[in-house]
Order: sequence, then C-alpha cells, then structure tokens
Amino acid sequence: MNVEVKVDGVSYTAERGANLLEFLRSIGKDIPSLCYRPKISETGSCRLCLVKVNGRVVTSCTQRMTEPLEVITEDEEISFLRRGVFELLVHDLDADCNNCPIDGLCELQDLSRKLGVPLKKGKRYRSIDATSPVLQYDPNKCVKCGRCVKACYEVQGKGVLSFINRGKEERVSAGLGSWEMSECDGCGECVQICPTGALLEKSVIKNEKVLPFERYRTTCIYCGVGCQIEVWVKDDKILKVEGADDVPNRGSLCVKGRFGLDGVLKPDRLKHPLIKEDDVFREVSWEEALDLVAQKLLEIRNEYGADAICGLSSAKCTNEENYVFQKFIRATVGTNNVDHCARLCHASTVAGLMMSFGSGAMTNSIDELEYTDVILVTGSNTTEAHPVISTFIKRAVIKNGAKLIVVDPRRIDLTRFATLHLQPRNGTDVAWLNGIMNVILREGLENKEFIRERTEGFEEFRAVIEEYTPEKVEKITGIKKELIVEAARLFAKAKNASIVYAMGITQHTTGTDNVLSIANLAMLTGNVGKLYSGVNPLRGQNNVQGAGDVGALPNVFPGYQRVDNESVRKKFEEAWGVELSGKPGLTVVEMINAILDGKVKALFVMGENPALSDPNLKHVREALESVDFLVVQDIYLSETAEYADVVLPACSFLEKEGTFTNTERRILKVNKIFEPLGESRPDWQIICDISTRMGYKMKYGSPCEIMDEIASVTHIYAGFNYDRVDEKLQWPIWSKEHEGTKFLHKDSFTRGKGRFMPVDYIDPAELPDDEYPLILSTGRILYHYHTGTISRRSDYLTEYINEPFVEIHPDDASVCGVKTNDLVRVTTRRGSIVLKALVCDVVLKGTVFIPFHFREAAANLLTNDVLDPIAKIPEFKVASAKCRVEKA
Amino acid sequence: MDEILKRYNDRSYLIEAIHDILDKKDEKGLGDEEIRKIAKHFKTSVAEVLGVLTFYSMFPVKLKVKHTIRVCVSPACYIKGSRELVEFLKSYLGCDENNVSRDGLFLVEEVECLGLCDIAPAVMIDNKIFGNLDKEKLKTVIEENR
Amino acid sequence: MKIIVESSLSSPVILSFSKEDTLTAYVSNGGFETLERFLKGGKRIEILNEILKSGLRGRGGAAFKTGIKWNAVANAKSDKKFVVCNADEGEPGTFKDRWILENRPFLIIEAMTLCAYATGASRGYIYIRGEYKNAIEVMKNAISQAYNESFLGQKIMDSDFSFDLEIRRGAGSYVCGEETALLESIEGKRAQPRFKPPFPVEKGLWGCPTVVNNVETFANVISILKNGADWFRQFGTQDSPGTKLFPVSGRVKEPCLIEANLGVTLGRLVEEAGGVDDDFQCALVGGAAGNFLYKDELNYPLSYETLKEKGKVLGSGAILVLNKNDRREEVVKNILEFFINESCGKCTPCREGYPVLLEKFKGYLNGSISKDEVLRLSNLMFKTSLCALGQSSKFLLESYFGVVL
Ligand SMILES: Cc1cc2nc3c(=O)[nH]c(=O)nc-3n(C[C@H](O)[C@H](O)[C@H](O)COP(=O)(O)O)c2cc1C
Ligand code: SF4
Ligand code: FES
Repeated sequence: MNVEVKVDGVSYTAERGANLLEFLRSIGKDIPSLCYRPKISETGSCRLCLVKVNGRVVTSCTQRMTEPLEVITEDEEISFLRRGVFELLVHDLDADCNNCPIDGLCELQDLSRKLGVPLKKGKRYRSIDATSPVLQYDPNKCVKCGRCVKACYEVQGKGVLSFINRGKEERVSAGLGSWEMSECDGCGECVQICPTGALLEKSVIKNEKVLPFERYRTTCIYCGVGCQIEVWVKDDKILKVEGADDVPNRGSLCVKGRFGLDGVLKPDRLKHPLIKEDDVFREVSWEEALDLVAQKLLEIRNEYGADAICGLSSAKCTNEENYVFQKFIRATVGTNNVDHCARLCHASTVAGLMMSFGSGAMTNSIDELEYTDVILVTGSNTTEAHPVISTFIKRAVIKNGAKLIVVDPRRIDLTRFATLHLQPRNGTDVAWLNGIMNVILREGLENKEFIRERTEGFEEFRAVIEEYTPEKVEKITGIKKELIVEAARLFAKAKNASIVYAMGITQHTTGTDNVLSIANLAMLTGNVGKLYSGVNPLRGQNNVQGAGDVGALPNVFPGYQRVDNESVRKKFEEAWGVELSGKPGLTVVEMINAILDGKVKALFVMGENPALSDPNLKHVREALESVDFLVVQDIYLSETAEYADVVLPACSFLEKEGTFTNTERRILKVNKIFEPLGESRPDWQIICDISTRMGYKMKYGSPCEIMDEIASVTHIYAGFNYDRVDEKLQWPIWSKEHEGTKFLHKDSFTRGKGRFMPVDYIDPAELPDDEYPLILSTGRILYHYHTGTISRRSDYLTEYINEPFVEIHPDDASVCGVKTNDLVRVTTRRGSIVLKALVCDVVLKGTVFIPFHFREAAANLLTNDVLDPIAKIPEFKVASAKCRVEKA
Repeated sequence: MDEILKRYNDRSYLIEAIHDILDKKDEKGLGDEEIRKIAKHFKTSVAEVLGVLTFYSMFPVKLKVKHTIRVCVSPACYIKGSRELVEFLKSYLGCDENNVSRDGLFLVEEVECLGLCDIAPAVMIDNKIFGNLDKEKLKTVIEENR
Repeated sequence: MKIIVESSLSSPVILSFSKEDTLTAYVSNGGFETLERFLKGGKRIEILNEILKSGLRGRGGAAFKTGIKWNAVANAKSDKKFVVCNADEGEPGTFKDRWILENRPFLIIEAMTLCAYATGASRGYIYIRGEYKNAIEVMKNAISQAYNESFLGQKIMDSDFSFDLEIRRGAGSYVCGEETALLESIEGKRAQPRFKPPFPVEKGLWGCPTVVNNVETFANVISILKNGADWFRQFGTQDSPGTKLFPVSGRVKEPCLIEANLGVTLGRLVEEAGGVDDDFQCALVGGAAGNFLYKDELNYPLSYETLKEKGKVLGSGAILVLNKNDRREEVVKNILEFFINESCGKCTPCREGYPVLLEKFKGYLNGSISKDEVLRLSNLMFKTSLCALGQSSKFLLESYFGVVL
C-alpha cells in the first residue's frame, strides 16, 4: 500500500507506514540525525532530524507515513531550530577534535560542519571508564544518543549497557558501574555504532590520528559464520576491525573477529622453512626444504606404496588451497588418504544428512533465523561458539516474539531467552528426539501431507518411535516427561520451526544417529525445504564447509562425489590427467592408528594441529613421534609442528587471496592485505611446488584460476567464479546465470525423497562408574578458537581468559571438597590433567566441562577416541572421569 | 529478600520489589550482590537494574542511615523558607558532604514538591509527614523522631 | 484539610460524595450503583456517549477530551487493553489528587472499572507517587475491600465482566506524571517518555491500547453517568464543562482545596482561601508547568479556553499566591532548578537546555543578557523537546516577562 507524500513541493509515492527520515534520505534529502540508526529502534531523542509536516515541526525519525503528508525539509525556522538544538547538544562536551584520534572520521564533526556550529574543547569533569580490555568510554564526549545502549540489547541481546542517573547527570554505564566487572564480552557493537569519540577501541586510542589509513574487506577466520570484516590498516599494522554491513553478519562481530586478529601477525610467526636435525630446527632455504619433502615422499611411496602417505588438509585454509591439497594427495601421491578436522566436528552431519536428504550442509540461511517462529537449539553453545549467529536467534525472541527451545545439559547463555530448557544427560540425544517425535505422533501433530508427498520409510520409522514414550525417555535422559510433551507441542505446532545444532550432537559414537533423528524430526513436522525452517548444523571452523566441498575428505572427490564410483573417478582422471585410486582413504583417527600400526610412514599436515585437537592425545603424540616423516605447514610453530621433520612457513589469511565457504554454504572472499611475513608463502603455492617436484606439474597463476578449475569439476560450484564474489552466493550454484540457493530441498530433496531412518537409542561408549563417577564433556569458549594458535597470541583475547579451567557443579564440588580456583586433577582412563576449578551450576550435576583450547591442560588428553561407526567421528562429548583436589 | 522476590514474577514489578526490599532494610541502598540477585530474578541485566535504581530519587545510594529526612524545596515551600530549614538542619545535625548527620542517624535530602503545599513548608521523615514548620518546630520533630 | 465547597456557585460534582472510608459507607450512599446498572444491562456505548457528550476534559494538565480517548481505546482492536489512573501528582502546588485518593478511593475504583467495561480493558493500574504513603495505604485497603465484595476481580457482581486493579508506586520522579513515562515506569523501567504518536490509546502499556486519565478526571465520571451529561454541562463553561478542584497555597490565610465551577475567577478563589496574607502580587497558576497571573487578572475567569486566549494555561489548577514581598525571579529560578533536577535526560533540548536557560536567566537578572535571548531559548525548547517537561518554561517565562510570543 502506498501513500502520497509531498516533499518541498514535489510529489512522491511512498510505502505506507514507512519511516519518514529513511524515505527523505532515499530521495536524496540531507537530514541531520544522531540517535536514529536503521539497525535499532527509533529513539527520537537527539531532536536534530526536525522537519515540518503539515506545517508542524516534528522529528522525522519518529514519523511514520500513514497518511498523505506535506513535508518541508528545511526552511529558516527548521535551520534555526536544528542549529539551536545542536548548540545545546555540544555546549558542555569536550569536543577537542585536535586531540582526538578519530578527527575527520566523526559523525558529530560532520554534523558540526553541516550545521555551521563549531565544536570546542570543553571541561572534562566526568570520569572515564577505561576498565575494559578492548575499549574505553569517555562521558565527556558522549552525546547520549543511546545508540550503544540499544545496540547492546536490541542487536546483541546482551543488555550489558544502560543509562544511569537522569537529566544532566545521565551517562552510559556497564554492568554494576564499570566495564571490567560487567558481563561485557567485548563484541564491540557499541563502539562501532557510537557517533563520536566517546566509545573507542583501545587500539585506536593509542594513535594520535587515525587518518590517513587504508581499509580492506575480507572474511574473518574465527569461526564458520564467515563475518565480513573491514580491516583498517595504518603503518602496516591493524588499527582496528569493523563489521561490514553485509551478509552474513550485518555489521556485527564478536570479540575475536573485532579484537583478536592481532594474534595473526605476532613476531614469532614462522618466517623461514625449518628442517629438524638432531632434534633441533635449522633455518633452511625454500629450495632445500621443498627438495627434501619431495624426495622423502617419493622414497616412501616407492618403498611402501602411496597408501603409506597421508595428508591432513585444513579447515582454516581457503577453498583453493584445500582443492590443491587434496588434488596433490590424490593425483600426485596417488592415494585417497586425505582428511581434515571436519572429521572431528561434523563428519556425522555430512554422513547423516546425506542419507536423509542427500546433502550434508545447513539447509537454510543464517538471516532466516531472525524470522523463525520456533527455534530448537541443541548441542550448540551458540553464544560462545557462533556468537554472531546467536544474535539472530536472540533477536528472533526479543524483537519478533519467537519461542526458543534449548536442549542442552549445560545451562548455556541462550537459556536466558528460552521458553523451554531441557537438560538431558550427556549422550542421550536419540532418546529425547525419539520422545518428542513419539508425542507428536501420538497427538497427531505430524505433517501428514509432507510425509506423504515428500518422504519415504515412514512406517518403519514409526514402529521404532512408538516405543519411546515420554515415561521411558524420562528414565533414559533425565528430562521430565511433561517437558518433553511441551517441547513436542511447541515445535510441532509452529508455523515455521528450525533446528540449530552443533558438536553437542555430532561428537558422539552415535553422532550419525543423532543427526538422522534430527532430520527425522524436521521431516515429521514438514520443516524442510521452506523459508525460516530446516536442519541447521553450525559448522565450527572458518572453512570447514568449503574444505569438505572441494574434496578434502577420504571418500569423496570435490562436490561430495564418491571415489568408489567408477564414472566419477573416470571424470576426475580425465580432468586431472592421471590415474586415481578408487579405494576410500583413511580418516583422521584411523591415520593415527595406522601410523602406530606401522602402515603409514609419512604424514603431511597443512594448517592443522592434531597434537592438541584430536582425542586421546597421548596416543596421537606417540604417533607423531613415531611416524617416519612428518611435514607440517603452518603459520606458527604449533604443538604438532614441534614433532615435524620439516616445517614450512605458510602465510596467513591476511597475506593471501582466496575464498572461504561459510556454514550457510556462502562463498566469501579472502583478500590480501599485507605482504607475506618473512619468507612465508601461500599454502597453495607451496603445495604446487612440491607436486611439481614430485613429477606432477601443478601451476596456477592465481587462486582465481584454481577456482575456475574447481567450478569445472564441482557441480555445486559450477556457476561460480571470481567475477561473482561480490554476490556472496550460496551453493549450489548451477550455472553462471543461477543466483545460488538460499535454502535447500525446495521442491524435492537432493536425493529425491526425504528418507526417514529408524534409529534406536544406544548408550555412549563410556558411562560413569564407581571409579570414574563423572561425565566429562569438552567444548569451546568465546574468547578462544580451536587450539588457540592464533587466539592465545592476541593481546586482547588473553586479557579476558588465558587459563584452563574445569566447570564443576556445586553438588559434585562439595563431595570432593573443591572450591572455585582450587587446583584439581581430572582423570580419565586415558590421561590426567591439573587445572583450576570453576564451581558453577552451568553444568549439570554429575558432569564436568573443560574447554579444549589450552595446551597446558589439554582436554584431549582425557577424551575418548572411540568412533562413530559410520562417520568415524570421535566421542569428544562423553568420557567418564574423576576429579580430586590437587594440593597446589 | 527471597520472600519479597517470590511475590513478584513479572519484570514490571522491578520498582515495586525494590521499594519492598528497601522498606525492610535498616540501612538504605542495595549492595552489588543484591542487585545481581534482583537482576537474575527478573531475567534482566544488572545494568538495567542499576539504571532504574539511579533514575528514581527515592532510591538512595548506598548509605547506612536510620532515617531519611526529605525537605521539600519546590515553590510553595520555598517561598515559605524551606531553604533556611535545610541549612538549619544541616548545621543542627552536623551533616557531612553526603548530607549524613554526624551521628549517622539521618540523611537530609532536598526534594521536589511533596504535594503538601497546603501545610508548607513541609518535611517527610521516613513515612511521616510534618507541616507548617519553622526551625523550632523542626527541632522538636527531629528530637521526637530519633 | 479544610475544604470549601463552592455551593453558591454550583452543587459540587466531586466533593459532594460524603466521606467514605469504608466500603459499606460508600455503598450505602449509592456507591457502585452506577457500575451495577451498566453491568446488568447497560450498554458500553452509552457510557462512551455520555462521557463524550459531557465534554469532560482531562484534569491532569493537558485538558484533552476524555470521551475521545475512551472511544479510541474502545474502537482499537487488541486482545489486551489497559486502564491507567495517573496519580503521580508531582506538579508543585498541587495536592488535589492526594485528597481524592485519601478520601474518595472507591469513587476512583468504580470509575476505573466502568472505564474498563466501556473500553474493553481487563486490567488497570493506579500509579501513585511513592511519597504518598498514606494515599497508597488507603487505596490498597480500598482495593482489597472491593475485591472481597466482588466489585473487582473475576465476574464482577455476578456479571460476565472481569477486571483486575492494582497499585504501582512511583519512586520520586516528576516526569513519571507524563503519561508515556508513567507507562514505562509501570513496566518497571527508567521513566523516560516515549515519542508520540503513537499515543497511549494506540500503543500504551506493553504496546496495547491504554486509557490514561488523571485521578480527578476519573472522579468526575460517576456523577456524569449518574446524573447525565446535560446535568454536568450546567457547571462550568461551554468549552470547559464541570467543576474543578483548585489547590490554593502560598500567601493565603487558609491554604485549602476548593471545588469550583470552571470559569471561577482567581480573585474569588483567593478570597475563599481567607484572602491574602499582606498584598497580592501575583499567583503561580498550574505549578511549575504553569504561569503567573497578575492583579489585573484577578477577575478573569479560569477555564481552559479563556486562558488559552491569553496565551496562558490552567494546567493542574494549582494556585500559589505570592504577596508583594515575595520575589518572582526567585520563584522562576527555583522552578528552573526544579526542571533541571527532574528532566529525564532523554532529549537534548530539555537535558541541556534547562541548565543553560537558568544561566541565561541569571544573566538577565544581572543585566548581561537580554530578555529576548532568554525567551528565544525557551521557545526553542518549546518547539523541539520530546515531552511537555522540556516545553514548560515558555509559559512561565513569557508570563514573567509579560509577553506572549
Ligand atoms: C512533565 C509532566 C508531568 C505530568 N504530571 C502529571 C501528573 O502528575 N498527573 C497527571 O494526571 N497528569 C500529569 N501530566 C499529564 C499527563 O501526561 C496526561 O496528560 C494525563 O495523565 C492525562 O490524563 P487526563 O486526560 O485525565 O488529564 C504530566 C505531563 C507532563 C508532561
Ligand atoms: S523533554 Fe525533558 S523530560 Fe521530556 S523527554 Fe526530553 S529530557 Fe525527558
Ligand atoms: S534522529 Fe530523530 S531525534 Fe535523533
């Protein structure tokens, strides 16, 4: 519906009910404003956006065009009033532009020029809050527009900030009065939205002037969301990072992306190739290093065969590099022994969803979550592991009234927004999922039409489900049966419902079963193949989606095309001009076992850190120790690199070009911002050089050329090339004209019909007993990433947390006499570590939780390396443990 | 405090709950732990609770006093000499810069209109009202309400 | 409290109800009859029409027509609607609502219930300023008595109508009297006004249509519905029908509350309050948000429209009399300080403007600043402030300087 609006004598039609200020700007009128921002709700407090509507002076930001209006955007009176208000706004500020780092980059300064009201240095009688590790608030420069307060709550769902006092004394305050003690987690949404120098990054304050500087767009590396970032560079250093107003993050970032990139460029970066001799590393030339690697690999292949060589590709490297790496292992070395740490996070997702749907990725898109009616989050501590995605979920609840169901043993942050929180015992996911489906079927809430038209295998599935009554499920899971019924009704009755999950679901011996059950639930309620719904696994690492897409997996070529399929293999043999193996290769944990069995002699690791990330580390480290030849290519001397025979210095994502594919299948550009540090080189170039030395010529002029090759052999990337990077497409992209795929399985599933898979509950591999009475679970925390190679080098992130800890429930703590900050020893059948205790009721009674980022108390010394039989993913989330106080 | 919070489930009762908690306390003001507890109970953030606490002038800053003396300084009382009453009180009770009396029993606050203009100048001591005051009368009232 | 009923001018509308501290007393004097009549067969539309016809205007200061408000909420489509009684009474010089709350609590309960019935609201709040401890006690008591006797709660008096009423306390903030700030405060937040539109009748409490009326406004409702709009219109003037409660204080011999016809003269009210202690200089009418009326205006009728013609306001009806020894400029300074203290801080013109205005006014007093400059700022604040608090000094200063812009 439209409405007539006359602006300064000219008639326009506008959308009825739209915001007048937005509209005036869209037709090119320059209206001053401070408190208004499209990202947050209207405030109407700065009183600068004045215009005349039907002869009356009003603030245009609060005016909705519900009926025909006659608007005068500026006349003598309006100019007078705007100037007058601005004079009042700044009269008591300390607007000392000459001594402000953002001189020339300030909204307030722009307005002062526009309105012809000069800014001046003023009194500084209000106290600064500089207690945050990352930012500073100077109330002497604050215009009280309230943008930060609203951004913190409305955009980030945090509410850490509030105005305190009233009238002239009003100021912004964090938590109980200071940033340091507040719940502020440093996402920096407030800094980015502040129109003056009141809120500034500490990294910016260090500078006298920010101008002149350069600004580069790239993609963040700290998780699978793939936030678009603007890196501000001055004097060859990162000045600060801002979130780009673009998909997928719409300007938001988390503390790692905004403040943690300093960890990439620390002086101890690897700058020269190293060769280990007599247990010490010696700096060598590239020639020498590459020659040695090529020669050794050839020797081993000749002596033991190609299958004695394994390669670990990297979820942190680009698509192009992963493609080159798997091609190197397959075409040059001649084996399918290539895998990467997707095995450790979402192998079960890929396996499970392939069976159910025919495609193993997030079915829908991140931004849809904001408009979903019911969201079920399980096994995902979204706030910490995918912080920016959690803001979409929180906004769905706060802004759009969505209902959130959290199923998680831990009382994670999202439970604050949840209508229901179900706390199952660790590892009982199939049971509660079946329980929910049992209720849905019993009450006839299933989507019969969807089941009939779009799926198969329903009857067999139903037979299994019938046994999982809420009573039985309560016994297995510990979730009250009433809660199961309530959750089932809420989920099934939703117009659109989405399931969001992560490693709490996948990292189990029953990981694939868990995923199949989730797929069953989505199909049962008809929540696949439409907007605002779907099965949405959140991928952990920045390019774990892409690494799998381009074939860094032992059983499939790029595009998930099976190696054991004759015609597929033929196609790749033709494309690559070599004979290829049709035998699926070894997975990550299998490689380690094969090394210890003496079957594998050489391991090539590109940008992974199994010496910290893999389960049962003692075992892994033995393998790394004993393997004949270990090459590690990385940006720092990682825990794994310490075992290497040859270390190859790669350059970081800030120093090279390429693409990442984020968790919602979106292909995002990585751009070169700095020259490579020292002699470091992009991973793809190093691999190409080794390959060529080994007799299989690989030569590409640029990552762009590699991507063209990827597109030519990978149907789901077929329509993509670098000319289209700005479109930020989501695969499948079938052709050059195709505009990508927002959500999958629209009219039919990738595999045709969706397949219901009957799944029975099986206990986790290890259950608590008298000797090991607790359940140990591991995971991430907000401030660190993976094995901490980069995040633990960041000056800012380490200021938040730089120490391992174990969360223990108060009841368990009192049994073993543990208090917060006590040193405790946590032991499982595989190992034992000592770390500080954090007594809290975030964990369920009977369980303990340890983040796996810390080498000094490596959680994975404790984890169980038993595997899911299908996906070969280890059970990181359940191990039985015991815990006792260690005398410090 | 738990008792009081139990009575109120909805976020909108925040101000009511603070009133009740303060009424039950001997000393005025809320401690950090209490604020945390309130925030958790109402599923809101501590910042927001602090924002509310500091907005309303009846919610005192953390001070250990027994009585609050509120002297109206709005026009009706003002023209009848309430400023002088404030000055008198401060010197009579020996108030410090926080307006707490020397013996720590009283907090003297200047407040806006108490709606007692018909008996101006007026004063409230805790919940009790006193009007048509002059220095002598005020002195008697204070002594009677120690 | 001394009460003078202006019986020679009219038969009183509000104060005529005899003292009713107990529900029994109220009921035996015809209390809740009107409610019963409407619940048992009366039509909602009759209530709405009667109030509209009566021409009753809000007594909280803005003098908006009550019938229009009620109709707007009645016609709004929403599952939830609310009725709110504004008993924040923070306007300096004003103590009429306190008197009503303490002495006529059931009159307010009955009126709010009828309003809820007419508009389709299911829940009501009386927002009483925290300082009114006694009024809060009385009102609490009255509400619980009303619940006990089924005048509130589920299925009131065996009808199909249910209505819940509760008290919310303020905590020391003048701006809470502003209706949208008051709503924020009921929601348990910092009481910063919302921008309007949308008005509370469209989006009030928790975004639902809400009637907000002053205590005195509600106090008029029962006699209108009992006696009819025509009866009500006998009192007062064409545009300001009815009577009004005038709290008279300051330099009068007997400060008191007077009910009088709208249109009564200032002189008459001063006289009823025992006359001036010493020589009359002027009166501050309407409190801090009001203005000065002078000797030559003593015989001018006090009604919303007559004062508007003069560029002045009646506001809450508070009358603070100054004698020749009082210094008007001290009162102005005192009021500007009041606004500085009570500004919520949300919008620029008010938060930053009042301190500057006070400085300018002091500058005027010592001769360094022209009165035009003072008036220019108060006019700017009038035109640009978010709520009426920031707009208020215009009337005060214009009446101080004796000019109308
Ligand atoms: C700063 C300010 C303070 C106010 N204080 C009061 C008050 O104490 N009591 C009141 O009834 N209305 C007060 N009002 C007016 C209300 O905003 C609103 O107009 C009134 O409650 C509507 O009720 P009525 O139509 O019955 O008058 C105030 C307005 C402003 C701007
Ligand atoms: S005019 Fe004053 S009280 Fe009203 S919103 Fe603005 S700052 Fe707050
Ligand atoms: S932008 Fe409209 S009031 Fe601030």
